[in-house]
Parts: sequence; C-alpha cells; structure tokens
Amino acid sequence: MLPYKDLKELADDKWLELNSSDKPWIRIGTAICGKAAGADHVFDKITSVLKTLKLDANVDEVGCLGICFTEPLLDIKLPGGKRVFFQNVSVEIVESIIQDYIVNQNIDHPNILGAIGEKDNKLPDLNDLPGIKYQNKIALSNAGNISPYDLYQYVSQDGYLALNKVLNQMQPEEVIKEISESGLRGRGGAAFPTGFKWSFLIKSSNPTKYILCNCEEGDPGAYNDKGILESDPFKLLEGLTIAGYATGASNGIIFIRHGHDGPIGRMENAIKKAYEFGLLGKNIFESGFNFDVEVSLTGESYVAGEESALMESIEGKRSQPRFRPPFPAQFGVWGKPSNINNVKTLTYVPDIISNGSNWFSNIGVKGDKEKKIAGSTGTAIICLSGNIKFPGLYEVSMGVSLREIINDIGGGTASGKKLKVLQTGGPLGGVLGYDSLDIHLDFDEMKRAGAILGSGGIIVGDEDTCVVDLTRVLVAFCQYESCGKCFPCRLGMEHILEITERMVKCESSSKDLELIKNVGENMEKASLCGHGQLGYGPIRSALKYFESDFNSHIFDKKCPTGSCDEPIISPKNTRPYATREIETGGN
Amino acid sequence: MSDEITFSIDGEEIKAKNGSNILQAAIDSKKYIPYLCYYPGMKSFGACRMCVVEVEQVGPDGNYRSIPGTPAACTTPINEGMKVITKNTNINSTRKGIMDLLLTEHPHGCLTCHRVELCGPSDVCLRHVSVNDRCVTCPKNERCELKDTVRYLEMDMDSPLTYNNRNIPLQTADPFWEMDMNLCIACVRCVRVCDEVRGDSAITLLERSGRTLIGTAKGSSLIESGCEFCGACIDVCPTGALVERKYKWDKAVKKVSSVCNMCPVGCKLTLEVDKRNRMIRTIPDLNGFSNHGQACFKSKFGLDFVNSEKRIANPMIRKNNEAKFKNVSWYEAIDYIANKLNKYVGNEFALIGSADGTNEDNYVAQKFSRVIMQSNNIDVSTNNKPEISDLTRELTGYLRPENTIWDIEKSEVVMLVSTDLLIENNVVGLPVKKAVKNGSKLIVIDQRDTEISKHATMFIKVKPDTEQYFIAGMIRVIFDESLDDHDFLYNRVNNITDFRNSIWQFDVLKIQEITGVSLEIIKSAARLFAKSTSSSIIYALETISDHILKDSIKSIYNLSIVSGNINKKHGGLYPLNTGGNEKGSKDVGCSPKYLPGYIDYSKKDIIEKIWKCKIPELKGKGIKELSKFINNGTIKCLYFVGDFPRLSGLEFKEFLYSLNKLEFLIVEDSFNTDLTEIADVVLPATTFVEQLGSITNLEGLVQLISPALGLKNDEEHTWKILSNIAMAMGNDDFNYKNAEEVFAEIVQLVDSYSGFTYDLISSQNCRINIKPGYLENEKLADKFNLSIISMDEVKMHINNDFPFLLALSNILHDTENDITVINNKHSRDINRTPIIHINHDDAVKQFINDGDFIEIITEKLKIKGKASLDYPHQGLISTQLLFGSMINDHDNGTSERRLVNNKSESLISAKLLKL
Repeated sequence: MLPYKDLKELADDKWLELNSSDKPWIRIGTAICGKAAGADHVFDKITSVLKTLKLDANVDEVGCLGICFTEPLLDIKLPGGKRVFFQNVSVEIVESIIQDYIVNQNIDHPNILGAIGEKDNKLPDLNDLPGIKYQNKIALSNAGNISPYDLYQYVSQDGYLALNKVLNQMQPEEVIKEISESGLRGRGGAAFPTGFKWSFLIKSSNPTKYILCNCEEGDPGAYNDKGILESDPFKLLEGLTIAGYATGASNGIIFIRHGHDGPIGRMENAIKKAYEFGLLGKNIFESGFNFDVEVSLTGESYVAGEESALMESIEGKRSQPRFRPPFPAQFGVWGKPSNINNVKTLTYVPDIISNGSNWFSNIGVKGDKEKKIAGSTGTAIICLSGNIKFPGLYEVSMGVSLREIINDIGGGTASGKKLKVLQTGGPLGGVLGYDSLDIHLDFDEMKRAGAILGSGGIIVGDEDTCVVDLTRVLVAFCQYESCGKCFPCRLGMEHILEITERMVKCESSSKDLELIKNVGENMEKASLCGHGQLGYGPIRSALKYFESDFNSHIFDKKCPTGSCDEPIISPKNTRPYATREIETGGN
Repeated sequence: MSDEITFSIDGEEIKAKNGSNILQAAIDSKKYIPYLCYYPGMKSFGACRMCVVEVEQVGPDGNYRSIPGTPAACTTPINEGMKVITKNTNINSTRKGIMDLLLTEHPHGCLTCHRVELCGPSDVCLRHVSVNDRCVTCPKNERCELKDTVRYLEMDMDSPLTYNNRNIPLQTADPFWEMDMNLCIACVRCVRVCDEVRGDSAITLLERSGRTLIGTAKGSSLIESGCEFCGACIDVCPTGALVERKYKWDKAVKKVSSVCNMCPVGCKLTLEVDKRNRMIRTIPDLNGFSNHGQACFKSKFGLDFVNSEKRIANPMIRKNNEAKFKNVSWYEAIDYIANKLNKYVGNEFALIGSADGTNEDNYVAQKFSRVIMQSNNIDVSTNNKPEISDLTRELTGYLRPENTIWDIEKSEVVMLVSTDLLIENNVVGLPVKKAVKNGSKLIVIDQRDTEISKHATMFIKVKPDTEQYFIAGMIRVIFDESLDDHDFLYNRVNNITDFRNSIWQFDVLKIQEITGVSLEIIKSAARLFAKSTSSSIIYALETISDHILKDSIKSIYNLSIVSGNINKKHGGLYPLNTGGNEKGSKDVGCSPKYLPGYIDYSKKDIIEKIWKCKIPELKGKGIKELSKFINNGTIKCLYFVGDFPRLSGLEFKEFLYSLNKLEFLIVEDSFNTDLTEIADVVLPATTFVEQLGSITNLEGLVQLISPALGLKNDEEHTWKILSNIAMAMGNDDFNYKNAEEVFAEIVQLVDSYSGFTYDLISSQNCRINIKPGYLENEKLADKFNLSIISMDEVKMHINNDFPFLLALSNILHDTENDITVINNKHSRDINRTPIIHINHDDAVKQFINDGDFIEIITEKLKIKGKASLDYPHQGLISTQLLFGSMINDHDNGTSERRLVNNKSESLISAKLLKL
C-alpha cells in the first residue's frame, strides 16, 4: 500500500489535472434528490450529446450541494474558467446548454443559477444564495464537489489525513479523549455523548468487537444519512475506521436500508476502493491496525433502526428489539461487544481529528460542565421539506434558530401562506407551532419544547394543514411500523390510531382525549424500545400546541382547514419501493 | 462472585441463584409476579410487560438508586441487596393498562358474563354474551393463564377501548393440533420453545405490528414445516390458541403425576383424567429430571390407546386348539394356567417380560420363572441388542451413564453412532441440538440421512458394519498425532502398552479403504473429538449387525478412554436402548444372563438365601435365541407379557412361525395382536396409566409410575397375575400385598437401589449408583482396561433376491424436493416423490440414470422415488420418509398403538425396480 504522503501527492496531481486540464469538467448531482428530479436521464443525455458533438470532457456524478430544489443541478467548469451551475436541467435542454455554454461559451442560458470562482458582475455568485450562504459544512463539505466514486478526489480534499494521524500519532485513548472534548453527541436521535459511548467498548478485551454504523434512516422526510452515503462515502468510511481504532474494534458493519440502491452502491464501491488502496483490511498505514468493513441490509422494517433490533437484523433474524441489559457493549452482534453510531456522528470524526476538538466545540452551542449544560456542539444537518419554498439538505451550525432555517434558508412556505406547523425529528419526534420558531437547534432545547432534533428532518406545514390529520398520519406510520413484539406498543399504537381516526372523522368525544392520554402514557412507560416509548411524543406535542384544532374536531365536529373532509388513507405499506423489490426479486 | 444472591421482594429477603432474573428468582421462592410471555426454562423475551416492577439497586457509589421507569422483572438480572417492589398503584395501573389493551383483542365473555359467579359445570347460557365472545368458545376455559392474570389484577373490566374480534377461521387441518388465532396474545412462547428448546423452528411469527400472529412460514402445513409433533407449543400456550384436538373441550377432574414408559428417557408427565375415567391429556412436567418439561409425539399424542374400547377386557382360554376363545373368570384362568404350567417346570418354560413393564412386574416375572418354573429363560422383548448395555457395563463397570442426558448440552463434542434421535429416545435429541446451537460440534456416523444429521458438523457415512474400524482409525490418528489424554492413560489405564501395540494393525490407509471414508475425514473427526475438553458418545447402534456389536462398543469405549472422556462432567458414554424400562428390567434380573443386581450365576447363593429356595444354575435363553429353541423343541411353553408389536430387529416372520410349535402359549396384553390369535390363554394386561410401580430410565433414574385411571374391566397387573399363579401352584412366597412390597424386596436385593422408597423416588432425583458401594460424587479409584479388537474381514451383504441394503430414515422436512400438501378441511393429502440415493456404479449396472423413477422393494414396503446417483458406497441405497406422513397416517392406522410402536429402522434388504 502507499504511505499517506505518496497517496496524497498522487491525489493532488490528479485533482490539479482535473482542474487545469484543457477539457471541460462536468459534474452532475445524482444523489437521491437529483435522481428524483431525473438526473439519471440527464446524465445519459449528456454523455450521448458529448459523443455526437465529439466533445471530450471529464464527466463525474457527484452528490448533493444541499440545494435540492435546484436539482438536477449541472456544474460545468470550462478549462481555466469558473464552476457554472445550471439548475433544473431537463433532458430537453441538455443539448442547448452544451451548445450554448461549452461550444459557444455564452453565459446567458436561462437555467444558469450562478457560479463559484472569482467574483465578477457577469454571473451571480452561488455562495450568495441563502441555501449555500447560511450553511456551515463539515460533514457535507465535499458533497457536490467531488465524485463519491473516486478515492483520489476524496484524498485530495485532505481525506484520510485524520486516519493517518490517528494511526501513527495517537493512542486509542487519546482519540476518545479528543472526541469527548469536542462535545460530539450522537446524531441518531438520543444525543448520547459519542466519546463516552466509545469508552464502553474499549474496556472489553474480546478480540472480536463490532462497530456498527446505522443508516437505516426510515423517518419520512429525513435523507441526510443517505445524502452522506451518496455524496461522500469515503468520509464516513474514514470516520468508521477511526472509531474502530479508537474502540479496538475488529469489524465494522454499515447497516443500510434495503432498497436504497444509490447509497448501497456507492458505499459498497467505497469499501471496495478502500480495500484496494489498503485503507481497510490488514495493517492499515503500516500501523498494525486491522479493520474490516461490510455492508448489511435491512428488510422492510422501520424498527430495524433501533440499535438492538438492528443487531438482530444483521444476524438474519426478525428485526425486533432486544431487552437490556445486557447492553450492546457487552453483548451485541453475534454476542460480541458492539457499538452503534449514526452516519452523521461518524462523518464528523475525521474533521474533529484533523482540526482538533477545540475547533469543533467552538461551533454551535458550547456546553458548560458547571452549569450542567451538555451543549450541542458542531453542526446539524437539516432535511427541510414539506410546504417550503426551498427544500433541501442544509448543514448549519447548532444554535441557529428555527426561524432562520425556515425563513432565511427555506424562504418561507411554498404556498406563501402563513406557516402553521413544523414536524421535527421524524414520526416519533414532535409537532411544533408557529410560536416556536425562536427555538434554537439544540438537543436539549428542542427536547424541552416537546420535539426532538432526532434525525434532522423538518417538515413544514402552512395554515391549510390540519394538525389532527398530520398527527393521524404520524401515528399511522408508527402503528404500521411497530414490530409487534411488546404488548403496549403493538396494541397501544392500534388504539391510538383508532382514536385519532375517530377524531379526524369528527366522530370523537371528549372522553377520547383522556383515553388517548392514558393509552399513550402507558405505552410510553411500559414499552420495550424507543418506538413505543416515544410513540406518544408527537401526540402530546400536537395536543400542546394545537389544542384548538383538536377541540374543533371534537366539539364543533368540523375540521378547521377542511383537509379532513377527504377520505382517510392509511399506509398499507410505508415502503412501497422496498416491498416491490422484495416481491419481485427476493426468494 | 458468590453463587447466591440475597435481595428483597416487597421487603421480604430472598436468596436466589446468581445470574437469574427477578422473575425467575421470584418463581423459585414461590412469589407471584404476573407474567405472560416468560416461561421457566426458556430465555426471557420481555414482550408482555406484565411483570413490570420497581427496582432499587446499589449504585457504584454505594447508594441506592432506582432503575428508571418500570423495568420488566424477567429481563432485569438480580444483584446483591436489590430491592424489588412488585405491587403498588403505579405498577398496578401499568399492568391494568396493558391488560385492557390485550382484552380488546381477546374474547373475554368468560370474565364479563354476569353469571360467571353462578356458573356451574354444565350450564348452558348462550344468551348472555355475544356469540364469538363466549366462554364456551374457548377450549381452555378455567385453564387459561390470561384469565388467572386478569383475576389477580382485579380488573374492573370496564375499559372504554373498543373490542375487536379478529374473526380468523380455526385451523384444524393439521394432525392432532388446532389453532385458534382469535385467542392468540402473541406472547411468542410457542415459536420460542420450538426454536430454542426443540431446535425445530417449525412455527414462526408472521407479519408485524397489530397483525403479528403465529403460523408456519409461507403458510405451509405442519407436516412440511419441520414439526415433530412434540406438542411443546401447546404446553406453553397461556391461552386456548393452541390445543390438542382430541378431548379439546374436556375438563380434567383429576391430575396425576406419572412417567411415560414408551421409551427409556422416562419423561415425567402430568396425566389429566376426566370424569368418565379417560386420560384426556398429558402435560410434560417442568420439574421432570430427565425431560425438563419436554415430551415427544409418542407421549403427547400417542398414549390415547389407554382409553381404547378395543382393549382386552377379561381372561380368555382356548382349550384343545378350539377355534374360539372362551371368556373366563380370573379364578378359572389362574387355575387352568397353574395346572398346565406344572407340566413345564424346568427349561421347557420361558418367560418374556414387557419392556414397558415396571420393575415390580419384571422382578416378579423373573422370580416366578426362576423359583416356580425353575427356568432361567427369562428376558424382555426389546432386548435384541443386549450387548449395548451389558458390554458397556462390563467395560466401564458403571451401572448407568455417568452423566445425565442434559449434561450433553454442555458437551463440546457429541458423537452419535448409528443413532436416530427422532423416533426413539426423542428427548435425548434436545440437549444434542441445543449443544450444537451453542457452538458444540456434532459428529454423526450413520448410513441413513437421519434428521439429527442435519445438525451435524461432520456427517460421516461409513460402509455398513465398518463403524468399529472407523473409530479404531480415529484412535490410531489420536495416537499418531499425540492427541491422547496422557495423564489419564498413565494414571488410570492398565494395559496401555498392549493396546498401543494392537492399534498398529489399524493402518489408516487400510481403514480408508474398508470404511469408504477419506483419510482427511478420519483425521479431522479424530482431531475434533480428541481436542475438545469434553466429548460424549451416544450410541444406539441401530444399523449395525449383531456380530459387529461387540467390537463397535469396544471401539467406542476405547475412544472415550483414549481421549480421557470417562469420569468427566459433560463427557462420557450414553448407551441407548429401546424398551421403556429395559434398563430397570435388567437391573431387577429380567435377563437370561444375570440374576437380580447383575449377580452372576456362580454367586446365586446370595439370591437363594433371600428367596429361600434353589435356582437353576445354567444361563437361560434370551429373546434372540427363542425361535431356535422353540423350533428344536427345547422350549415348549411360553409366557409372553405385553408389547408384541415392539419386538424389533428380530426375524419377525420366523419368530411368529416358531410360536406355532409351542405346546402352551400364554399371552398377556391389552390389545389383540397376531400373538393373542395363536395363544392358548389370553390375559388382559394393565397399561402404565393404571399401574403403580417404578421404572428406571436410561440414565439410571428411578421414577414412580402412579395410577391415573382405575381399572375399567378385568385387567390385572403382571406382578399380581404371576403371584396368583405362583400361589395357585403352591408357593406362599409370592404373597405380596401391593407393588410397594415388591419394590421393598427389590431394594433389599439389588444393591444399586438400596435406600430407595416410593416416597423418595416420587419426589427426589434418585439415580442408581454408578457402582455398587460407590456414591455419586466419590472419585472412582479404579483403573480401566482398554479393550483390544482385531481387524477382521467385513462380511458383505449377500442376498440374491434383495441385493441392496436400504438405509431408511424419517425427516421432518424435505429440503431436497417439493412436497405438495393438499389441505382438505379436516385432513391433508401428501404428495411427495422422495429422492432415492444410489451409488453411481450400482445405478449404471441397473441401467438407472439420474432422475429416473425407481422403486425400492423390501419384504415389508415399497417406495417409489426419483433416483439420484450420489450415494458414496456401493450396495446401499438411501431414502427418507417424511415424518409428517407417518403422523398423518396415524388416524388410518389399524393398531391403536401404532404411534408409540414406531421405531428407528435398521438396514433393510431391498431390491430396485426401474419404472
């Protein structure tokens, strides 16, 4: 294998060549947002147009810059020129863009969004776009800029610098200390201090230890884990390897939801490449550290994202949670000590190591031990969707207020009507009202408000949204996705759904308010895993912020927005895509 | 860490085993915490949340801190000083809340009906609750754990939640088993017991969330899903969701703890009896020492024969070869027999005891034969491989296996020699499967593709009758590679040098040729066996020819010694036999070779002193030689007890034919058989549900059989009949008042039973001593002798009519080919074409191609199937029958005892026909 210095030199050469070559460099965003907008077809069209025009160009698929509303986003850098971005590119206009810009070098194409490079008056600077300007990219720093398939491009952006440093200059304990001091908290939802979590695993002397990376990400409206896997899989891989070294783990497993072909393919490719370059396997960077990584897929289950259900799933069993104790750090996958981290958490690790814990802890909300404030350092990756003008994947510093995110970055509601509701943290998260826009992105502050930051999804609703119906949809999701193991969740979810359906149909009475509370609180208290324990959360917060919506359904027998007049559609299947795969392809 | 932990439940101090959870500790100390999904003996599951408690424990700083929330008692391990509160308002409301939810899906008219307090056993009150909610729709009314829990919780039953009946049709197509998913609470005990304890995984969870229910994968029938019809799922079901079909609605008025005598495991059962004096259910006892709450298809569904109307009701005599039997009184019958038997005193008389008979029955039988009839021709009917127990005992000096069958669970390597644990000794298979599940290695040596071989690490098909050489080859490898237990051999073995010299003849290359097993496999089997810290060998030697038995046992014994696996916890030898009480019968002297307590004829004066009479000094004739000596006229009179169809391994036809030559045949049985047809006197026998007595299982565990049913007709116990005959023949020494008195005499006579009483064996774990005079834990000072065998030529199977040997076995599910099961409403038709494995060279000779339809023909059966040219050895064909077909055919069977009479097959002579 190449020593890091040689690898970096080689990568830098290649990067320079890409940037200064006499060929145009075309990058197109083919993350899930791009693909949804038709980027695959655009990509095919580009290659065919280049062929017919006999143009020679470097074409790369890249991830997502975060401004998903502009997808498919085409990024063309002419030799010696700036990066010019074309938004909402369709197959029909590909030829005109290439003709216009690459062949004729005109810069008046109507789809031009902006440019990155030396500022001039001809084109707007992309960095002035709110969706880019307000971002503070750490985990997603490479997203949209480099090809997720090319390890050289990642290394040229200082990739594997941290791993090299860790393996050659640091002891595992030092790495854990560094992570602890950075204040990094788990981004999966529970916000557990990562350094502390790692310290459980290092204590075990078992020669086989697993470090698991959870990319189940089943929350509707959350796509940041998938975004990282699609945009910059090597960074996650580096973070995972560092975590492996710090905890003394021998194996890493990246657990991805079945059916997400994009993230799965790119991750598997990244692992293959890393093995080729000796960045996984035996004796990484001649340090004597061995580490193996593989990808494992879930079946069709939301609960598979729960850490112990995830381990069951990896073992090939029904994804049902285990009880604790024993905790994963003693008895995890295949009975071996294990540690589970979210994709985002691990992706921060290389930058924390390269730039130091101090740098990271100065971003976001600083903790204070004396005042017993845990703090929320670093950035949050927000998936903004729903009724919003500029939906996207935005990485912002912790401590930013929801108002800034919704208004400044998101540009307010898409309908232009008044904002009414924010649904945060996935279906087990919470529902916030308009008056909570001054809440800051802080794990503890959000929790106090009755919502959670959770996976980072924020779904926006305007004043035409009926919160009772929204609650019903959330409950329907949770009910459908209950694994069916523990009684309170299996049966409680059914009854809560039944009651909310009654409410939506305006067939409910005031007794139901008490009933839903009793059932919900019992479920919260007695359930085996987070699914049942958190399942009542969204209802409680909805009742807290939108009591009038409920009262109107129960007492006035009418829906304030009129949206409940339509027939109820409950999920027959929360993952149509994944199921289709199983039905046709599986045995 | 100490073994015992002191903690408190509701303020009361409790001591419990370290490592157990709160719930198990509470159960052990007779404290009740409600639970629905937990089941003793299985892993905790933590689903029902009914056992939630509040817990305070000592934290790292030494102060008490409470575990947040309400943890489940079944998943919280106990620790020193822990304080558990099992009931207070908070806990109760949580439990009630969950129960409220549960009852919205479970019909509960049995709890809400306003007449429930007034309800009598025969009340019909169909108008008080809605149709599908009635107590009469539940077969487990008043046997329901859910109902008990509701009552414990003192529920108000006024929850505003909506009730929803699932309205799922009953599933009644499978044999013996009915499933009503309207009553299921998804506690998953059944799925867990099937997977965790039985190792079968025949049933599984379907769907998720509120739709979670139990079923088979892909909705197949139990016949094809791998079910072994052990009924464990029914036993653990807390509600009426899973029940036995027959007597489904019948209520027990009496429950009796007894022991199944259908195989040598001796499963402790609770027999339920209804008001019509029928045995309606058997429930394996969780505290059973040998079965740990488990049973098999025989004891769960096969024992219904005891209720049969077809049982022989009274004594019958057929004088002067008349065509018809005449019903007579006992008085007349005994008188007649006594008169007749007077003529045959001496070697002309033989007595065959029942292999299921109690120790008392068989003790009196052998005493009768030896004292009254002056004949040592006494045996039990299943004793067709006497070498297995006798030679093992002679070699090791142990009267029983050193360790219990559940010690196998912790054995690192288990080796099965020609043993199919599905049909016979079924429960022995459980610790084997569990061991494999926990990472132990299983070596299976067999020609048949047995069910247990699917769990094997190494499945070795040796050529027939070369097992002894294969094992000798393993021993050779062990010495060659110095894997033997040097210390053990040096300290505890006498003739190690001689043995080492003898082992040189077993050249591994030669053994490779003889056994047809490659050198590499011999080597790796040897390494696997010898390198482990504890290895057990289980051997029934079902496919091994009689003349090879001795050498096979010697080889097995040598392997165990050489690898130092004798006198070791979780290791050692497990000889298996077939008869339910074959071991006990031999212990009490029902054997042609030994007097009670395995006393040699040379020391017969010991017995004579107690019996106060002379006994003949020549060894008697056993069951195997019986036909020969009847045919040559030596034996003229036979008293045959019991279980005719269980005669196994004998040349059946020949035996039956020879019986015609007898002058006088007395048959004692509970059913008419081919034997009763030709008998002169037929006596009605009791079955184990009517008997009181002791039986001894394969581990040497002595247990008490207690009568559950009273006598229906004129049946009588064997010991009583024989005593009456003896007294009629003028001997007062047989004047036993009851079975206990017989047992007292056995205890006096047989050293290894000394100290045992009925009280003791019905409550305590009473295993007979390893060796007379040695107590269980005493270290044996003895030295062992290795047994030297020599290499002889292997006898080939030569039979012109049936040139092949068929290796036949039963499997639970067929992975090799498709099974079509047509589900009719009340029965299932199975359509399956088995694959017949045949050696390529043999096939070529018979012009059979791969995939051809061929038929196997033996004397008894014909099997059509598809040829697969992959059997490793010439001269052998192998095929598998579906276990489920056998179960399915049960109802169509002619014999009442069909199910319990199933046995493992040895190699059968067969020919092939190309279709």
